[in-house]
Amino acid sequence: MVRLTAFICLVAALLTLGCNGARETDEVTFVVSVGIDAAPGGQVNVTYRVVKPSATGGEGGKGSSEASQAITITAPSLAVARDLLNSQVARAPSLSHVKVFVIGEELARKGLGEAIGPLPRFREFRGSMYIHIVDGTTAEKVIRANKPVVEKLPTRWVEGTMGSAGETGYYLRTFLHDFLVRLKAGSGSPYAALVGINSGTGEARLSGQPAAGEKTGEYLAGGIGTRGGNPVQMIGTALFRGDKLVGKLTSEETRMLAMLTGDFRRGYITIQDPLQSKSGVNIHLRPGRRPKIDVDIVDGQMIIGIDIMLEGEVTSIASGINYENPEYNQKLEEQISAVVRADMAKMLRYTQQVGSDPADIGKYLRPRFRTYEEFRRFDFTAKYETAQVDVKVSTQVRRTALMQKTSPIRDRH
Amino acid sequence: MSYQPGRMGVAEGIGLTFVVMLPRVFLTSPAVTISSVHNLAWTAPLINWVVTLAVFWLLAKSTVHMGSDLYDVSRRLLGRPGAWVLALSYAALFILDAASLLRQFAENTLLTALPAAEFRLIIFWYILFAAVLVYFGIEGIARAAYLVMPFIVGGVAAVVLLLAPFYDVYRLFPWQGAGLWTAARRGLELAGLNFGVLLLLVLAPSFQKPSTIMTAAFFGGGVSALLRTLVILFFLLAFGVGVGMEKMLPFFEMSRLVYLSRYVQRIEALFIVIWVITGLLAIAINIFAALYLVARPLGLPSLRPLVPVIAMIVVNLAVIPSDIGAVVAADTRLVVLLSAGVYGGPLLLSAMAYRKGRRKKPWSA
Repeated sequence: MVRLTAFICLVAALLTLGCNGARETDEVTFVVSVGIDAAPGGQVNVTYRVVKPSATGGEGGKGSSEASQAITITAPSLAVARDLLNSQVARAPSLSHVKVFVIGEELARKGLGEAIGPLPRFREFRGSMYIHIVDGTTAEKVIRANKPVVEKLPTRWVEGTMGSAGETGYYLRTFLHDFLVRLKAGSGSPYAALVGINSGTGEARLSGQPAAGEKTGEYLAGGIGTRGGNPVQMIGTALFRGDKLVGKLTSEETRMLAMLTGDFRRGYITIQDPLQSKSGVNIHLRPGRRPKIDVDIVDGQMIIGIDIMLEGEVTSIASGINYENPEYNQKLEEQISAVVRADMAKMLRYTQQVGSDPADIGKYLRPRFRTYEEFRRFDFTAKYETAQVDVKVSTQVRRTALMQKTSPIRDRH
Repeated sequence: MSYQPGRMGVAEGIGLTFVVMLPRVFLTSPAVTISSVHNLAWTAPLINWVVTLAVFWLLAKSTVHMGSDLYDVSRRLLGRPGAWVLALSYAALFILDAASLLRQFAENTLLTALPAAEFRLIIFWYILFAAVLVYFGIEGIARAAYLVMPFIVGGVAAVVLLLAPFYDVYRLFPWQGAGLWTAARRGLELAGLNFGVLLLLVLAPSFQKPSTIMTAAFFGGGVSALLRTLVILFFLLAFGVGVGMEKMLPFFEMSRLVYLSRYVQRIEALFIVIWVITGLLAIAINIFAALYLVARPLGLPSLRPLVPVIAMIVVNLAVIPSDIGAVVAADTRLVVLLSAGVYGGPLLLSAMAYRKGRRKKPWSA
């Protein structure tokens, strides 16, 4: 009996070494980004960025253009496109290392339910992948144009930009998980970071005028005036109603959204000098606390109360006026609050117009319902569109960086 | 191997109870609960654990002075035919539980880890290892269960903590979910998830003292119920009801979603090991319990010759459902059937013990 037991254990140990049904890495092609565009006849153009393992590993790693390649396939679905990819790359395609889904604007406007709704069913996709929406062009063009300067691989560029979203608040980190949860939740609307291609001429395309008292212009993806570097830019937010793209938030509006969702960590704002309007004052802003949002229904109308508290650090005073002085400091704080309040109100008005609630303000009403059925029957979008919004912003300029006062410049006119 | 399982203490009892009650938290069960109870689904494991513990305590209290196992107690209270029916019914439930777990763990291994593997091969490996474990006896399984317990608790806690960036407390609202009545009813219906705790009474003489059994039930089952509660609660916080009820494997989805930075992500492979070990041990424990309950009324001197037979029966039962949808539906019905086992036998035996005690009183007086 002991011999039999030992035999069974030995055989089992020998046969279970390694993995049954697994694949060696040199039998697999890893796809790192997927672009999806609308194609004629109800088809989709699927663009895969495929990495070449030999070009990315070790000291002999090559540049991004050589380390990966973009392949576009026209197919009736993502699943068929994946199978067709296999016919071209000679290895079994694996989508388990996909970092981002880039969706063309045309397809996004038609609705993403059919394109990305089924994704969570497939084991190679995970919620921690990102989703980006292309502004004004196709996903294929963005994937092909993406030539990171600092990073070796486009995936590193995606992870880097998404990871540093909190540095400015000009775009938001948008996981596929959050997008899908919003698609099926009873409140809130999906949103995604906006990407676009810059012309490279150095000419800026402003997408909105600064609020009164502000000096910073507003941009959408591809609109920042640059020469050189990666032509692909990420800035702004794509707004959805259900699964359809219905609008876009500019850089400043996106920052306001970040303040509401609690994703804003820090960022610079240039405001008009309250005492000398031609000059600007640079403030490094950060949240003073989590935003307070109260939502109520009064006589059938949704009333939204928003209370934002910001903290600032003066990093530049072009006019030389002594804003370190408490009397002037208060004027500065009022100016910042007024600018942010105006930007916030403008952003919220726009989201109401397009019927999209990216800040998920509706969720603050959830505790008012007793049961899930009751909650699902409530028409949040209709209530949100006609809601009355009161925004309160207060700012405390707490620091003046490394200067405690500004001495005048001699002979300056 | 005699049918006598040997001597075990509190640690072994806790390990056995914990592992045999836990595996469905790694399967579709949390999503099925969310489908029916919605936002209040997290209370279901607590409700059914409290009720199960009460029933268990009642039975243990009324029969523990008899100092014998479930079959012996049934024989004294129900007579030999009654004890036969009860023992074989519970053996059947343990076998069905083992079969359902075997099929689900095999399917999910195919789904999550080895998509290109042959299904029959996976099910063969599972049952082979479970049979080998049973062959070595319940003491070894119990000690292995106790050893892996901290890793399972630590693993679940790690996933729950690492998912913190995805939580939104508003997803727990509306707090009544599908309604308080539905939550209470489903909570009671799902007592079958705690069916394994009866193992302590099946093997009662091995634990020597009534206090050992109660301590093992309280802590082993309690930690298991707490983990099930936490997994559903935090799953709801991360996914909400709408998406939560869609998922086939909620815990796997949770571990797959972990993303702290480019360096802390894609950690689900670590947790596949945890749930495979839990599943294997639970299948083995169920098979052992069934063997024991078959061997006792038949008066068999050893369980070992029956191991391959029961293993074959378990495999054959496991492959009956034609597809994964049928497997999940069958398991949902099985849990309700196991609930009948949790309530039925113990309440019947408690009532009989009470009746017998009342009858005896005039005699003793």
